[in-house]
Amino acid sequence: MNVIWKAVQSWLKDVVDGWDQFWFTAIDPATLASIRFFTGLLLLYTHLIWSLDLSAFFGSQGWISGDLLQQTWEAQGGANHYFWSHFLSIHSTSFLWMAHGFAILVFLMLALGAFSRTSAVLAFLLTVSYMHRAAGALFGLDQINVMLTMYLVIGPCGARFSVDAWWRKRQRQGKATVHKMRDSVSANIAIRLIQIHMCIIYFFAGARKMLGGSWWDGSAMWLSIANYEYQTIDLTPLATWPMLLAFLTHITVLFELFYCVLIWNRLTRPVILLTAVLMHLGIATCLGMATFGLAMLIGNLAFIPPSLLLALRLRPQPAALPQSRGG
Amino acid sequence: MGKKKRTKSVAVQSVSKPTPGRGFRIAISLLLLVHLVIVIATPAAMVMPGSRLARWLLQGAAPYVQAGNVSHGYAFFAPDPGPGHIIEYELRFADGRTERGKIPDSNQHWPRLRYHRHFMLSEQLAALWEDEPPRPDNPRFEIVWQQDYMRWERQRNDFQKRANSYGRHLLNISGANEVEMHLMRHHLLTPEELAGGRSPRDRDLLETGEIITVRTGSPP
Repeated sequence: MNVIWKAVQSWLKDVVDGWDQFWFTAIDPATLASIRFFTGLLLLYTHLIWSLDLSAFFGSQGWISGDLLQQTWEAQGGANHYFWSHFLSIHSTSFLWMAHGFAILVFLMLALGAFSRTSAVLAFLLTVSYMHRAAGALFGLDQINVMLTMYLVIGPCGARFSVDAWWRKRQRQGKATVHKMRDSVSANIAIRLIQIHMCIIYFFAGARKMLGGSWWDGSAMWLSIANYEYQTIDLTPLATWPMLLAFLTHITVLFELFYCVLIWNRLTRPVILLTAVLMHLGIATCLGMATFGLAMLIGNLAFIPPSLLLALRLRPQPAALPQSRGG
Repeated sequence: MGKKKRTKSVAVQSVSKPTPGRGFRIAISLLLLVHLVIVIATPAAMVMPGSRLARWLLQGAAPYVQAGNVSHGYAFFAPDPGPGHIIEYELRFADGRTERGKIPDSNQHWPRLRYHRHFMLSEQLAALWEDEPPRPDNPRFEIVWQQDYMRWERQRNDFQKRANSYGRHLLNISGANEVEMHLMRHHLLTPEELAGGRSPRDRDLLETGEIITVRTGSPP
């Protein structure tokens, strides 16, 4: 009995150590900073496009009127729901444009990494607010945007590749103190959350496909490319290659279902990331969802170790870098 | 010169912070667990028919889920990729003039993200559209039918409200008196039909699902 108890204790200690190592190892913030840069650019583009129809989607007399939106929220969350959007307090077009201009500035600041922590918090709140108001015109892109922005709030997303980092370096120039780029536990927590969230997204995307017959019989890829409203490149000539279409259908489901397992293994990770790149570039170019494809690829960046990103920088490093952990 | 170089090389080095204390790690771990349970439970509750356990777990999480926009199902092209939907409309003005348009319109809604936003308007309206469930001949199925009918009635109400909102917006921006909207289903070609010379642009692939008319001053 004593032996069993000791084995259990040893196992529990291993579990706690593994948990601590997974979440509380300090890593270089390079990966998180890269995600900040690309997410900021994507948010900037997403919201610049809203500018073309600002009143139509965010005005009180838009496609979804303010009254209808309130009724929808009440239907979803009851009378005491927690949905919110600052747009419901805006009743004039000039204020609407001022609020939108402020949001664009925030997203630009996030991309550049200026006042990064503040701009990340504001970017998250604004992204949620836009999403809540634009109900009826949302798709996968918005879900990924809000997920990435939420996790940028947690870590030092402006510690690298940013105006903040440049400014700090400039302030320290000529001073006697030697600056050391610190690894960060919060950067690791943010990256781990993005990684796990990506696994959840892919798993449920795959699991929900398993409910449809076309993903089993291999015709789903045809049904996707035959949809004229989605098409940006006409792939219907592939109709003469039914086995290729069936193969792509099955690969898509298998990739999505098993991403959450295979992405953690060092040997399979490059294959999974390459498949993700090919799949999302395919969706981006052929099914007219370039922004969604890019958002998913930004999420996949979380699996690129900081050391690799630093080694890929255009500017050569004067000295060899110590290997950074994590990723 | 040499000193400057040394400073530069140190500036990029990484050093690990001391491991956070136990209390901090426990508190953060609990928060992480709660967050992850919610993030997993929300799509699990949405997959039809939806996990009872997930719904139960989410009962107290409404403030977090709703305010933070955490609730998503991730049903991309699922369960099956279906036909596309568009809205064709005709605006009628007081002077007898008429104007036609459609949502989405690739000629008008550019760049692609803008087109996709408008495409989602027609797709999400179509998601609320459903035929009235037929009344069963056998009275034994009456109760099931009644439940189904009540659900359909609620959804029909949501459909009507949303369609009216679209219509009022079109009247608002155009100054027209009346708008007639046709919700169209764009059926997909089979590979055999394509091989037989048909095109996805063929007009007969578009089927009118519903016609909604909205007039100035009509109730929402």
